[in-house]
Amino acid sequence: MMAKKWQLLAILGISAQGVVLAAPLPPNILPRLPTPAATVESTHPMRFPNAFGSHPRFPLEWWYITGWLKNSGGSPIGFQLTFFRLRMAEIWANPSAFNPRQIYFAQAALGDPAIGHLLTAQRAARAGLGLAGAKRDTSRVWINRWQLCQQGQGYIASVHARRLAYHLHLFTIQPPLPEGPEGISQKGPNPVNASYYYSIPQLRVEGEIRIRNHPWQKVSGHAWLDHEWSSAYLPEGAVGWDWTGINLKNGGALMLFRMRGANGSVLWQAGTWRHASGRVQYLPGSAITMQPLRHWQSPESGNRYPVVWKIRAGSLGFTIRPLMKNQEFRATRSTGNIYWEGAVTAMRAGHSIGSGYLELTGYGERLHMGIGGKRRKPTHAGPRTILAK
Amino acid sequence: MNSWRIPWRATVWRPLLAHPAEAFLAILGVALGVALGLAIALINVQAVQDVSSGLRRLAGQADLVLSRPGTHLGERWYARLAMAPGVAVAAPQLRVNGILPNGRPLPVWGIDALQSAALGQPIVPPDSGHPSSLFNPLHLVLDQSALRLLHLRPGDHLILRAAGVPRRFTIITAIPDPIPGKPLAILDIAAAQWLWGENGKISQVSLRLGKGMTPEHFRSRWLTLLPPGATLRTPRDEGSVSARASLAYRTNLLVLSLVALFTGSFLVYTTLAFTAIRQRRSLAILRVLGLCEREVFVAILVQGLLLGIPGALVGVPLGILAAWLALAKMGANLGAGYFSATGTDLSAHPWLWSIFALAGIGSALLGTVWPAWECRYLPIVRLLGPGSEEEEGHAHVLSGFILLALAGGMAAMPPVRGIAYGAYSAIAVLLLAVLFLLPQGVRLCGRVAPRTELPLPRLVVDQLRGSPGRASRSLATIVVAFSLVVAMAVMVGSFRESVAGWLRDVLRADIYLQAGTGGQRLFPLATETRLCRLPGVRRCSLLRDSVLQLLPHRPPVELLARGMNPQQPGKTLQILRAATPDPTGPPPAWISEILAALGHWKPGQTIDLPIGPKGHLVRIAGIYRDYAYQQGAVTLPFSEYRRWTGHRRANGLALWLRTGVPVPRILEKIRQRFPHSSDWQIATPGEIRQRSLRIFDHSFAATYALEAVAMIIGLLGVSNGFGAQTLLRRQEFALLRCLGLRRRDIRYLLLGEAVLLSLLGVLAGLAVGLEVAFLLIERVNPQSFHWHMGIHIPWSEIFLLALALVLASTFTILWSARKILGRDTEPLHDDG
Repeated sequence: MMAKKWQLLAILGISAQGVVLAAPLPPNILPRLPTPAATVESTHPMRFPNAFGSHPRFPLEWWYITGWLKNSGGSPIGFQLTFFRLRMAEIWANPSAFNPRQIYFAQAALGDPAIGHLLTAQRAARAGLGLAGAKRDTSRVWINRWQLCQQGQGYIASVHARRLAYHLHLFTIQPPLPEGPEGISQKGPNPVNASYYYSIPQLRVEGEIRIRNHPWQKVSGHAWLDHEWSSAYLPEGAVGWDWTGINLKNGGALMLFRMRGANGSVLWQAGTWRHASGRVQYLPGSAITMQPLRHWQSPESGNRYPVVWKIRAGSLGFTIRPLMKNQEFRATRSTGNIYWEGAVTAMRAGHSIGSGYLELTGYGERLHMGIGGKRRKPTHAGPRTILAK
Repeated sequence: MNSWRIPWRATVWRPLLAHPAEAFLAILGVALGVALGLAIALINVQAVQDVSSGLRRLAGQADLVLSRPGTHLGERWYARLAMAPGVAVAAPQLRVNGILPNGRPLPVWGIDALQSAALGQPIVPPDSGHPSSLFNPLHLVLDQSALRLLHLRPGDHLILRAAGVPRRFTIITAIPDPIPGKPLAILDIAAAQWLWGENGKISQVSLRLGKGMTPEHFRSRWLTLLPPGATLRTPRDEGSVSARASLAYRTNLLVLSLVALFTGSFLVYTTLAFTAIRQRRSLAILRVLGLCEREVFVAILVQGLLLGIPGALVGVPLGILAAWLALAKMGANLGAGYFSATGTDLSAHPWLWSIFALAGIGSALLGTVWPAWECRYLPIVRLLGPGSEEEEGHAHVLSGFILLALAGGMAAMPPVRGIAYGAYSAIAVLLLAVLFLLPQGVRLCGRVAPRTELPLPRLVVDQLRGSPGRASRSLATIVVAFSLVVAMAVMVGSFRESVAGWLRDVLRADIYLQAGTGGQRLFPLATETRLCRLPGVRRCSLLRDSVLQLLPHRPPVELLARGMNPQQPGKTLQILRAATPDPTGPPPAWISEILAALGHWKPGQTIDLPIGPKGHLVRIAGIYRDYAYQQGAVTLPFSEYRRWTGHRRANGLALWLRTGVPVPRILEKIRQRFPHSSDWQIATPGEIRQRSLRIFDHSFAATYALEAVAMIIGLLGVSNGFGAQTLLRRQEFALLRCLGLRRRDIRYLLLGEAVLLSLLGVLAGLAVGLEVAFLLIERVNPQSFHWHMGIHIPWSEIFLLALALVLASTFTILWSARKILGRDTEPLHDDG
């Protein structure tokens, strides 16, 4: 019996060895895989449910959830969860499961005014071995045990880190909102700079969070989801952008952004206003003014961010004020960027008309991340891609 | 202190200052002892510290490291652990070897920079805060050591052979040495798998645990699920395993280094014994004037302190300097191979410094105790009387025999935690016993010496007979020093002879081939059949060596799979104990003597070897002698190994030639028919033997340094002893001159005495040294290192050492007596 078992093992062993030996070494010039040059084209409008899934033919994609929570005591807490997917500019035909074809980053934050600054956590991983990835048919993106997952009538967002953790259910109340005609959001005067972009505003949130070592606490609130993918995001000459997404109290939703040049000039701005009635109004740059009222300088990075704004969007005028001033996110451990990403309230005549998030990027240095080795000259469809939304 | 009423100047300063040269030599002796001991201790501490701090730093913030020594793990283990509850970050690594253009291996670590960065491991290029440039499979990061070794700079290219194929890598950046002094290349783990043909394999996974998970808890949950041979260790464990493995070696070296200190205390003894003799009268007068015994004792002790303190103060910086030089020249392993990855930066250890300074002072005090004690107890009348230096010593003889018995008892003690403390104490006590027995021995020699009527020889013998105490005081240091030298010589000689004999016995083939210096390199399949078919080759046999995690909390042991006949293991191995064959039992394996002692295993026992996917039971068919693998070794027939692991390729081959076929002809053929053979290492048994013995000799470098210092201290002792003695005998020489002896005659007389006493000292040293050697060979080595050896006394070496010592000692005696001889007439007084 024993001898037979050995014989069997020997056969298995030898065949296994054969497989190992057959694994050929790569040729002298290492072969590469083609990297498809998918671009945003008006001839290819965004379509659901395809839009929910991942779009690996595009070099850059993200899922972004921001929102306001309240604990049982009624104190407001801001939260953010972002997953980035980056496709490498050069991909080798390496059969290894570790082959870095796609890299994922995740950034999570909780903004508790009782703490006074953001609690943040970051993850980075290459796709492979099931440890990080994104599904193509549904919104499901994960790095280890962090995930954002479309499920039933909504999403689940889970984050586990030393300083913070949360497990949230986000219920869809309203249909997705394409952030431009055909779901294409123009990012600059050159038509090349555009993205496919939709939001799901007015998500209802239920779940629990852990702040530092405190026990888990139940929370509820509302959130905003963005999903955007592109091959050329930042227009030439732009160093960053200011973005805000507000869930209006009357059920409406407003998204505004502007691209800034190095001298602070506005290269492009646009917005989308979905009225409470459901009517969608795409706002051209001429219909928008965004005027910084007050700045806050970060003692850590030295960056100076405009955190209070006076805004006019179409017929809507209001001021946005932050939940707290210090909502700077230093993502040096994942994408390498430093930006301000914080909970804000929209105020008109002393009353809140809505709440959401404000994002301010490129206040330190131009947003960038070189992928694929040496820094090359920026090309629109090239490897130089933009991170941190 | 003044309440002691001791006239310091008269009792302490003047006697020492009267003979500054003697005092200086005694201080020098103490300093040398302190320096040597401290140097060795510093090197040891540094070595262990480097290894464990290196391991800890390398791990970054990792709490646990999963690895499987000797083999790779499947990458699915990384995936499983990364997703396991309680794991916050998991960083995989694949370690391979690249071959440099000069044929030497360069360790290459394939890393996942994203995960290693999250763990804070010092192997991630800090370049612009982002590691993405490492994703290019031909991008390489070198550490500073590698850059220095290869004379390269970032931006340069490096041709490195990966799995035999030359690849042109670009060095994108440099990092500080992750392991001090170890050249290292870093690339992406995907590239390492691809270019080295190790798809699906990893070497280790570093884990950081999340909230609420302890390493112990995680380990207990996972250890049983892991493949056989896999270990899950904390970085601290790794350090302590390496520290424990070398503990015996370090302790032994440290204890041996104390030997020099001990010899130093004999030197202080010789010096102060004579100072005390010269001082006796003044001390006696002081006693008469009311100084009490206790005060005399303290006064002499203070003399010892005055020799010890400067000795210690000089010795400590000297020791630091010596350690620094040794580290810079040899590295911290001192040639013994226990520490492979160590730097040359010596850090400050004020604790060690003070311990050795105190030990130096203590050794001086130890040497002072007896002279002080003697002065204290001698009756005043005897102290005042002339010629009072010689006293009877039956009590001393008794003490000597008691000490001898004590040494015997200590030698029989079992080791404590792997260290032969008992045997070491026995050696110390044995040497102390010499001090007590030497006067009686010298007296005995005087008694049995043939009587002669020739005046000069008779004077020489009478001198010996008349003052054995004086002679033995002068000899104490040299006896101790020579006995230690003899002991070392016999121990090293026996060891060397045993190793040489073992090599002769084990290396029976005519040609040995190795696939390369990197451990992972293998011969192409069927190489052995092709080699075996070469005309002139009679037989060939395979060898595959790897390592195996067999014993918990110990470094991995060597696993040797070789083409051997399981029925006749004695043809391949030097079997020490064999089990009766049991054809129905599990397949046989042979374990080395060291492994048998470490694992407490006996022939016939069944053990579980963590080989292959599930592990296999084997029966210990025998225990064999092996001096090559200090952590133990297991030998299996290659056929079993192949069956269990599926590995068919070997990394070593042995060829037997037909009678009459010259080796060079076959080597030439191998070169012609195997184009890859330039990468191979090909050696004849003679070359291997030579190389092995050279390594052996290197590893005893520290021992030789010790011997030399002991000899020097011994000679200092002789010099001080005779210098003092000739001074004491001034009036005797004056009397002899008055009686008509010429100065030349006195010189001959002294020469005769010098030769005779040196011979006596050397003979006594030889006798004691053989006993010490016996203790080292039969007790210390088996208890500490688990290896046995035969006793081979290297007579010719000992004879040469003895001759050298007799000459040196004779010369020293004459040199120290030159003062007396230089004076033409010495006034004859009625007292000294």
